[in-house]
Amino acid sequence: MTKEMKLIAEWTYEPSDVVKGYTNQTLYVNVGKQEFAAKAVSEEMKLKFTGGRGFDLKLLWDAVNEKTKWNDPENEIVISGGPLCGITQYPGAGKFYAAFISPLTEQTYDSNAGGHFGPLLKVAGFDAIELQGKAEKDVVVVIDGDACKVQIFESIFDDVNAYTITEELHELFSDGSNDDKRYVSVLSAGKAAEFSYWGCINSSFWDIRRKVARLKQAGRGGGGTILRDKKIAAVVVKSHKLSGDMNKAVDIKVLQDRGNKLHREIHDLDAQQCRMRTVGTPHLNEIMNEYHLLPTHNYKFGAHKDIDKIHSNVYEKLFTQGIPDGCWYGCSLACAKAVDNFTIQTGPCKGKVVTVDGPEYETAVALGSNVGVFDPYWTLEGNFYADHYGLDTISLGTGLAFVCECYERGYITKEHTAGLDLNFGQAANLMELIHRMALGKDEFALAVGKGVRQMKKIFSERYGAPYEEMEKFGMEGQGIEVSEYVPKESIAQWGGFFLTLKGPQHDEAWLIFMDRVNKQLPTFEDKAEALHYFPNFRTWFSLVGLCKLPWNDIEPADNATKYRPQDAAKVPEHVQNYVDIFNAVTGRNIDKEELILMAERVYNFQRVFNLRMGKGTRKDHNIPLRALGPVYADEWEARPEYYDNELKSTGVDPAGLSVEEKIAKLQEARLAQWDKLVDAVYKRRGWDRNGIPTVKKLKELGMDLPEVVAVVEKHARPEDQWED
Amino acid sequence: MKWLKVHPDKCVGCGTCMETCSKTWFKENNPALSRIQVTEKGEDNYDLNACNQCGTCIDMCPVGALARDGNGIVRMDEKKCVGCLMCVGFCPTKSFYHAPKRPEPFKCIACGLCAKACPVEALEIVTE
Amino acid sequence: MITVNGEGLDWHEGMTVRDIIVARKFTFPMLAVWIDDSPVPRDAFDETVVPDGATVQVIHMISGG
Ligand code: SF4
Ligand code: SF4
Ligand code: SF4
Repeated sequence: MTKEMKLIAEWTYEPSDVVKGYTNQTLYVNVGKQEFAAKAVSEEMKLKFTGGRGFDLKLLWDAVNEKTKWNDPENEIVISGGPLCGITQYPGAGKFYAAFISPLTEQTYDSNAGGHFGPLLKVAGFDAIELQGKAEKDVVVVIDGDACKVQIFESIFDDVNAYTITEELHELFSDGSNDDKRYVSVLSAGKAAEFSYWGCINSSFWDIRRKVARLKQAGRGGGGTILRDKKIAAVVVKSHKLSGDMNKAVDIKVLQDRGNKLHREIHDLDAQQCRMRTVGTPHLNEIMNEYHLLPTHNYKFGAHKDIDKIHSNVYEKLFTQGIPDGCWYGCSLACAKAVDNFTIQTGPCKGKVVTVDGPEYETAVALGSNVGVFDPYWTLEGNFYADHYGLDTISLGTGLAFVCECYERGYITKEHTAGLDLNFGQAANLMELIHRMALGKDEFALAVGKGVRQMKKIFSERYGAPYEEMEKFGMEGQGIEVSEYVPKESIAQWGGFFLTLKGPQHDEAWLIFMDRVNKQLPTFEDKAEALHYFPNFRTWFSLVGLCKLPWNDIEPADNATKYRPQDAAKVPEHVQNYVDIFNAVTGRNIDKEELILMAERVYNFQRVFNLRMGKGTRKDHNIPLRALGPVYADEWEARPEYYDNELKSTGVDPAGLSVEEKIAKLQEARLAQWDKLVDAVYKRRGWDRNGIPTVKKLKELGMDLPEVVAVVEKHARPEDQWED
Repeated sequence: MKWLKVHPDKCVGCGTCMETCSKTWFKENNPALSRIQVTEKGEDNYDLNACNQCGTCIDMCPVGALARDGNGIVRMDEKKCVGCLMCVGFCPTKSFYHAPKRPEPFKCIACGLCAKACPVEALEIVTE
Repeated sequence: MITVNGEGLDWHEGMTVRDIIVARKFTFPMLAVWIDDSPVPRDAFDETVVPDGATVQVIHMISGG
């Protein structure tokens, strides 16, 4: 069957069976030099880095140097699932984490996806894969776990867009039957990833009921851009060794008992709690609107009168119900929703009837209210094409929202946009722009695809747009676009978004309710504590290969009454489940404190890694004014009483002030609060005033590796150390 | 459709059915491995729980390992099963069981051996 | 007058937990409610009466996102 593709290089490896969650070897593939190697995983590496994102960063550290740019051949995409990846008994255990030097942030990025790639890579014999080098022509990398071969083929695909190439490769590397296709998983990007820094990595699983390839995305950070820069059209993994015991856990009973208990909880409670099984994450749409947290018109507003058009009930009807929609086996939370029999209206697939993966909440908003479009069908089409072309829906939506605001303010006109009116709500023109991003011909579309940070520069240099104004509302931090929650109402969430390792995604901490609504974090120290605990707790998922959602998008019936609110927020019973299943797989004996320590090791390592890449200090933790509060009068005037009160609470009397004056005063107060937050958080994390982990902290964590300490010592300044 | 109908009012709690079932399918006398479970609810009062072949679990299975056979009995293809236990967690009557002995769960397939072995006719195979 | 998450709210005779939730537009489904240090089960929100002067916490159980 593979005779149709020309084999360029091939390497045979010794199979290494999974034991206690690890295969104890990683795979190295250089697509440029066509070199292959298996690297042993030491006990030390497991203790310090655990797996998943930890392994990724360790391997990436060894592969690059402080000058490496995202498009240098030595940059890598490293992918690893982690020791729990592939267990089937406990919901949410099929994630892999990809790490690389990002084109958007020019430092390390890590991004995760479901689909079957992570588990299949492991049973094929590897805890991680490093993809390095650059091929001359498009290639397909194949890891054949049945034959224990790694192969590089010359790609025969004219169309590298994700759905096309993924379906073809499932066909090519199976016996063609519906059942056999599920032993294959494909990574791909798409055409737009060749031109845009927003390239996502699509990861597939074969849906035996719909008989189509489903795509999950490691969306953020530009991994797909690097994939295409390396001229990798796709990576295929196949293995028939999938089983309920593939991780060779030391105690399967614990996995079965904890897993079944959680299945039961989901069975009994999901319909009253988050409705993940029927609507998935879009259950948040109207809730976020109600609390003024729904990004609308580039985060100007947090709510919109047309919310009913994108209400979760609308999506519930669009999603096909009653299918086990887990992105990996055993996920009964089943949030991987899909719309079937959707007819595409525009672009190269016009007229085709397709299955659309998603949208998830973030996509429903990014390609929805944030660009002023309240039409689920448009969102579905945008979601389909973003995946197909290999674009991150979140950066795309937030980036388009920025374009709309620039257009609305007259900074760009039809002259610049090649004829497109790009005001908020211009659905057809925005879709046309997305298509142009995949064609890579039009200058404006190319500029947009470089992301908000570059757009600010390009729009001011090329079109004379005012840079300082765009700085205020260009919603990016560290070079990456903000994900879909309005941050301006919660001080703690400023940190949740902007005091992160890699920029404002929300996979570190979501504290808006705790902070703003529940009033559980009154002091800066309280906020700092939350900004220590939650980012580390959630980092742990990325080390072991887990999805975050089954942690707190379902909770035990008695969680809210058995524990005090502060503890209940952590869902203690589920935390204990994680401790138990980790021990049951690996045979280790961690507790919930050790769990945080494991995460802190990698969290601080990554911080130092960014420092090594010339980032990772206080000045790199930038925050746009729009994230702190209203920037223009229309934002204030949408909630005048609310903001007047906010101003009063900072000790300023709004009486007699113009709206512009009020805005300036509030900004001033909030910038001062931001500084206090930064200090408190750095201190709590064991970093100096400049945001650099101290050697003392690294020693405490056992991460005082000579090469890590050397980087800290090179950059740390005496004046930045805390007095005590 | 063929299924194992239970008459708990007749049950005396002797456990013969569990012994028969586990010996037949697991070659081991171990009530935890039986596809019918007898639990004591009070004095001389027993609960009998075995699959009624309702089929809910079929739609839960992510790999398509569950399907009805010609008699309407829900059967598992053990080679396909990946042991995720979603069928177990979502069975409305909690009649799908699991044990650490193997990753794949197990349930009654209405073979009728326990019904034959039951000394008081508390179990019967019916077709309806 | 009662306190809800640190802010005052007018009290009326027979006021229930549900009334507070409606008044404050707390539409999020995962709520934990505590009245003066005792938890109120979610299925008792409708009938649980809040005494005047109570300190009420209505905790939105989401810290992930
Ligand atoms: S909760 Fe959703 S994203 Fe997470 S593992 Fe389950 S299906 Fe996948
Ligand atoms: S095991 Fe449960 S869900 Fe499956 S057919 Fe039997 S009773 Fe129904
Ligand atoms: S345990 Fe096996 S039979 Fe049951 S749902 Fe999972 S894969 Fe299907």
